[in-house]
Amino acid sequence: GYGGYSDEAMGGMADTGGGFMSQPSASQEGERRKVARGTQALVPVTIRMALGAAPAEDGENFMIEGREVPQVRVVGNVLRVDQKETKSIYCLEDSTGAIEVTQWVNSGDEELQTLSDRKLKMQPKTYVTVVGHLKQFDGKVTISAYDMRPVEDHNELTHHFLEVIYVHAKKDQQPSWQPNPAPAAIMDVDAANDDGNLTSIQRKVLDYYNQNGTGDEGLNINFVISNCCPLFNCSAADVKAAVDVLISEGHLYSTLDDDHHKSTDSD
Amino acid sequence: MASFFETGESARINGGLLGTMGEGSTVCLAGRVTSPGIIQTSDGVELRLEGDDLPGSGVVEVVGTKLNGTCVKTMRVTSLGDDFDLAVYEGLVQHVNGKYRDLFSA
Repeated sequence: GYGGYSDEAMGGMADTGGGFMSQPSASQEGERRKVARGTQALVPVTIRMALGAAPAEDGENFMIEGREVPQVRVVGNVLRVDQKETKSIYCLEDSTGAIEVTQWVNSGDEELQTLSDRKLKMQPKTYVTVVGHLKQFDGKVTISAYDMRPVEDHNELTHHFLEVIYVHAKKDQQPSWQPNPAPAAIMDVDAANDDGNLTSIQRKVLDYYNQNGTGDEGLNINFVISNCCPLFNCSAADVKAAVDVLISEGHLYSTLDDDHHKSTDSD
Repeated sequence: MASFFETGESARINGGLLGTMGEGSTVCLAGRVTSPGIIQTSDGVELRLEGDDLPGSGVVEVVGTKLNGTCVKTMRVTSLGDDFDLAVYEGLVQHVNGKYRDLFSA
């Protein structure tokens, strides 16, 4: 077992406060929101935090704890579902509050079988993971979902909350929150400067992600470990430790869940 | 007072903390079913469950109302699967009710 949980023990989790997620491929009917390509910070939050978000000055984003959050991830239990023609409206709770999540019908972008399989699994009393934008409608904050899927391994529930805590705690340790840089600035970041302090194994693992994890989902960490061990002639623990450092230094960010990561260097 | 089905709010606690909650308050507990109607929560405490929606076996999350210090009336039961790590979850419960409570409750 894990025993007690200290701040050090949480060091392996993704610092999603500084990470970025590339533009999701799914388009949304009735909502052509301008998304800065390849530059969307994804922040894990509790529903209580989402409900307390305030609109930012630009009128598009929202602020949580004084920082802009273009995208959020929540994990919640389905209280009820309202199926309409062009969208499904889920009401989710995670013990901290209840929030409405809108999922637009994308019959063109995903095989109908997969979509209906997912819907069947996302019934009341089941847990789901949502990634999306915060919106405000009628004075209340809601989520417009890019991606919504049933939770399969419920340890994801625990890990999501621990990651919320970790991102919050780590943010407090920094003297000031880094301002959301302009998209052009992020695209132009000089990778050589950023990774000047990486060890040989860390550089190799990061290159592996750059070369093999170019899709939106990035790579599954178990896949990376099993391939990099023979490739770099090192142990699984070495690869895992390298990935942990790359995450905490902001070279990798988590995409779908805690097991999937993508390099911030790649497109 | 608005119901759980409207507010989505419940106290994410363990068996030991149930004693500190007010009667009738909405709580959220994770535990392993040890015998019909009995779960052992993440901190090793045994609690009795009452209601229609009783779990059969395995690790479950129960949202319900406190009847007394050792008994909860169930409102919603969700299976967490046999692979669910209750030890890590217990660590989370400590944080939720301690230093980071503001992220989770009013």
